[in-house]
Amino acid sequence: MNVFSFLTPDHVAVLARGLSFTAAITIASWLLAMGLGMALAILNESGGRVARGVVAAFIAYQRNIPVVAHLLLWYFGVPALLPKPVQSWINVHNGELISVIAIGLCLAAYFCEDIRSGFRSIPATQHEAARALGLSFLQSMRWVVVPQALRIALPALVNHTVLLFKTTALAMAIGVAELTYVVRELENQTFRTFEAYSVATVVYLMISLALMGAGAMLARRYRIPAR
Amino acid sequence: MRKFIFLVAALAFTHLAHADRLDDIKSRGSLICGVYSGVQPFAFQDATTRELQGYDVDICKALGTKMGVKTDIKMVALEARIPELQQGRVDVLAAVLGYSAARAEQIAFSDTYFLGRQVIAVKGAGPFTKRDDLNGKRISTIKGSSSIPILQNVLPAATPVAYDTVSAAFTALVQDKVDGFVATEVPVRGLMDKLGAEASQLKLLEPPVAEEHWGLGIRKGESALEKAVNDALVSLEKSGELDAIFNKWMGPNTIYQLKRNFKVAPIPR
Amino acid sequence: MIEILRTYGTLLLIGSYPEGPLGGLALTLILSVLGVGLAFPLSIVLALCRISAYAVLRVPATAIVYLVRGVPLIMLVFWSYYLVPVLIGRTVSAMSTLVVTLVVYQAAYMAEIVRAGIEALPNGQTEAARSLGLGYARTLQAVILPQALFNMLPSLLSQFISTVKETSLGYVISVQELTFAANEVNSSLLIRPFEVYLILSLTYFAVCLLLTRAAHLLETAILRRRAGRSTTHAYATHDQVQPG
Repeated sequence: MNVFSFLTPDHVAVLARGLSFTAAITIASWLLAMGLGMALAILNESGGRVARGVVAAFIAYQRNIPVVAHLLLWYFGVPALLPKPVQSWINVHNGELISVIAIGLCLAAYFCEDIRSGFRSIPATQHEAARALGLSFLQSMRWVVVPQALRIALPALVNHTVLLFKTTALAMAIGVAELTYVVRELENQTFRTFEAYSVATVVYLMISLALMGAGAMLARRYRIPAR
Repeated sequence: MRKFIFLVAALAFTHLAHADRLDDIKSRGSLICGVYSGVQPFAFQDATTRELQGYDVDICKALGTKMGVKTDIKMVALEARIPELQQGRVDVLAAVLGYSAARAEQIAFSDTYFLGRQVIAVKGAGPFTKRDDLNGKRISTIKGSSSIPILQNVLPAATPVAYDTVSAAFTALVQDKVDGFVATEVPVRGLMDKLGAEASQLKLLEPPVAEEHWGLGIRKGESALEKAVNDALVSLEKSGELDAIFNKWMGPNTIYQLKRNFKVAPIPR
Repeated sequence: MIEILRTYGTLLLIGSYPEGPLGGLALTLILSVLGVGLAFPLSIVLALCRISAYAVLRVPATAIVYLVRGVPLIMLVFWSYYLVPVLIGRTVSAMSTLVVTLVVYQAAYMAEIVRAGIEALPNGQTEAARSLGLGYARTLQAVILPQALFNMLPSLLSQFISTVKETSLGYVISVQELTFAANEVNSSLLIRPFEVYLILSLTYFAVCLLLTRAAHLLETAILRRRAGRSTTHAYATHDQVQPG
């Protein structure tokens, strides 16, 4: 039960490669989730009933279905519907791309909710004053409302970022060679269960704590003093 | 002196306390048999009756009858086969388990009860004609399968992509997410048959990746149970029951049209 | 898609019962109820340890909460699967290990919710209770916890919804819940993955949406009761962690 004898150069190389996939998927999904979440939140603010209905439907769909079901549907289900040339284009890096899409869309719903509650905490007068000064809707969003909303929503956004990072572990279900996948493979071949899973747990824990710490630091730096 | 006696007594007690698995089975009156469901014709659920059936299932039931107990069939995930056996959740594994030296260090294998050829299936229209064409390509397999270390020896430059279930790995080939799918020939042909009209899309490449002896899994150290299982297998072969079971699932009246090509004998190490 | 439902509906709903153990959607719901039900008392204990004045209680409780929140659930599932039989010295069914995992996971998250609920109560409540001569335990039992838990009910219900979704990881350790059943159906059919996995998604959607609506109704009822007392806005439903 010796963890250090488990960490031979081959194993470390395999683990590092898995971790690099995890990192790549985390960053790509985060960008998708943040971008889409922001867009949906702003759409919700601006639009009429149709826009709000679409956003609500999207959020309900994404949040009421487990990530595993999303991944299986996207990976096995959706490609069967697409025309052949599109399928071949996707197939080169299919697992990674699809996991980014599935996880990004799912977490976009969470981010959208966080940003919306940020918007709710800002008095409507902020937006009205900006419009009165001649800024357009998008400009007032970009320069006045969103910066404040983000600061307020920061703790929730950080929590959901950690959640996104942990969710990438589920990409192993569709054959993506990220950290959990390679750890299971190592365990299957070497039968050294305790060491393999300990290493993975420690890595996940350290990165999660680092993310939470970074979030706390950001929250302190960008705190709005009056609040 | 007193401590020494106590220690010896304690050790003796622990030895006595470790009841034999076979005795457990006899007193319980049932044999818990782990199977991997989802591989035709070895173990799969019938759609309407939702009952488990297959070659592995029938072997389990025959074993139970020979031991004079009833059989409880338990479904296990492929990757969890060996842990389930080691942790004692099942007595015996009849779960498409191929012999490998690494596995033999963890569990004990019975005599051969099936001889499998591992082959690679590819798209018929694709550029691959023989097994070695797939060096450097992506080949799908199942997590916990013996194919992965075998591939590392036979096709070292190929990338194995492991999925959780057999159907996931097979669908990945059908949807062109991987270049090949490696598994034992019989279930692969069963899967291809399910595709129906599109079965001709796929072909199997020669030479095979490996020839594997399959054994029933038994926890290490349970010599009485091992002996009982091997005796049962030998008597099944003698009485012709083994042939009957084999022909029922893979014989001339099925899509596989195979003849039993192995003898029940200890697996060559 | 209708034929799939007709042929495999029973398998998806109750697994191979009575030909085998109970499975499918029925098992998913049972696992969720057990998970949240058993996690609830544990979470109250954890929350109280988290805010305890004694470091010997506070530090381990905080460590446990951070550990559970920092590791993916699938890792916890594997840990329970291999570790629980070793810890209690005898074999445990896969279903039990999944329940244990869910209990530990949800207890950590619910502990934070309960802690937030307790800390959101005005200090005046505790002070008044203590000045009336009530001891620590009695204050908690009669004054603090009833209010805190009542306020946190919607969040706790949304944790139940999260648990329903988390049971989907059971298929990896061969617990025959809904996702496992869907994979079985897909193995039998093979050529219609989109329909099978769409049915799977829509089933979860229907169940969780119903529960979310129930949570909304509960939240409105609670807000109405609390109206005039404070202006804290309600927590968004099934946030897995609360802000801050």
